[in-house]
Amino acid sequence: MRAFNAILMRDIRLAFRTGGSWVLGSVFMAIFISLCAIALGGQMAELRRLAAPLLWLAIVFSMLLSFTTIFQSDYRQGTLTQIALSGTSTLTLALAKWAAFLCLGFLPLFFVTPIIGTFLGLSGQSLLATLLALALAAPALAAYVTLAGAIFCSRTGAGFLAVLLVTPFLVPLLIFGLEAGTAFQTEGWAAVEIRLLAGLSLLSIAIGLPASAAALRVNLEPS
Amino acid sequence: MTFLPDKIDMEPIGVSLQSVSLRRGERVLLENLSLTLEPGNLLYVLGENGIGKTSLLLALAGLLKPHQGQIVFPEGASPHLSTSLIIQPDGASRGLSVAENLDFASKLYTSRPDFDLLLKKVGLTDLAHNRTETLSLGQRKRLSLAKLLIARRSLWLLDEPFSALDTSGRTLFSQEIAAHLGRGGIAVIATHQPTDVPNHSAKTLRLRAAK
Repeated sequence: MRAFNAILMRDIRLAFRTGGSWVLGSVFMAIFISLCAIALGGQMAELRRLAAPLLWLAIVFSMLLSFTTIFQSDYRQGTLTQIALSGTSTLTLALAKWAAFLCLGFLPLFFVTPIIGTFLGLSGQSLLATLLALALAAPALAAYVTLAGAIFCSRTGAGFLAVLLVTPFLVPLLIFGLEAGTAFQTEGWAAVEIRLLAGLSLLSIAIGLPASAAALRVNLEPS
Repeated sequence: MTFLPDKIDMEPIGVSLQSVSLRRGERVLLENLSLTLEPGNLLYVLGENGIGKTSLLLALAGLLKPHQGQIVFPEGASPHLSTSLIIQPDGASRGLSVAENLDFASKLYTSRPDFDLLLKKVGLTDLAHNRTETLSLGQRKRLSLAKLLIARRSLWLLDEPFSALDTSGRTLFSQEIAAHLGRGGIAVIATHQPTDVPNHSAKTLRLRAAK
């Protein structure tokens, strides 16, 4: 627990100090949505209809593209080795990095979502439903991005490979996430899709984090 | 509880290598190496570049699995609980200051040293609030030494610890190694230039390329 806290707090401190990457995600999201709005011809009715899927895509891409920020610099500067030698298990390490990524790679996007959603003309209730579904899916999204980070921490320029690897896992999240958002507006908390999404999220953590830990163990062994 | 860097308590252990062979990919580095390290032993590992000195340290640290043979730690000890490694890259976090790096290490190792005394001992008091990326190589070595003292592990694995250090740095390192051996610790040093460690005789392992 102590090691978990130490790694989490260190990552948050470093992110605020070295600056940039956690803000860049939000900027990317705003640019992505603007480009979509231009591509769709700027029709407000069309944008309102597509607002929730566009927000989902923007967040998924933004998180996916920042997978290198999770482990790569620590791998290169030898910090991962030193953490492993301190007796900290790679599972604790993966868990702490996942939690840090939730705070730094997802929370800023989550806070920007209502602003962008309002610009896209989302009603209060649709916005609330989208936010709820995003919050439920976030732990799973972060777990899969952490897995990509752990697998490719020793390789530079693995961006496309990571996208190829993680996308199949993201598809069910995207399907059930959007369904859950729609269902919440009509059925509220009782909606089956909400429960399905929550279950899927827990399952993704249960798969993603131990797999990340195993990938880290392999990468810590010199080739 | 805080401890003083001069009064470090740790469990002395012995380690033995039994017919260990090491490979990196297809390349054979070591074959059939057996040796025993007792508390208080100092071992210099010598040999040309790329001969496998660092790999031997990595194997002792549990990071490189022997291709054959085994490295035996006593019951209750394991590479990840009993060893400290100084190697390049040194693991100092860019963006954090010297003091913050030591604080992070102390949390990982659940070990509370007296930070002021520790910084004074390794000669980094004036640089405590400087970020690690502004340090010279020698100063980073001193930071690694401070982390070694925080970790309180019995098996020190040091890869070229004396390089990039000034005279006072070399003296500091050899004194600390001597103190560590005096406490019943073991030091394995991979180097090209063995340096005298006060009051301790060293074993030497010279690695040669297989014919």
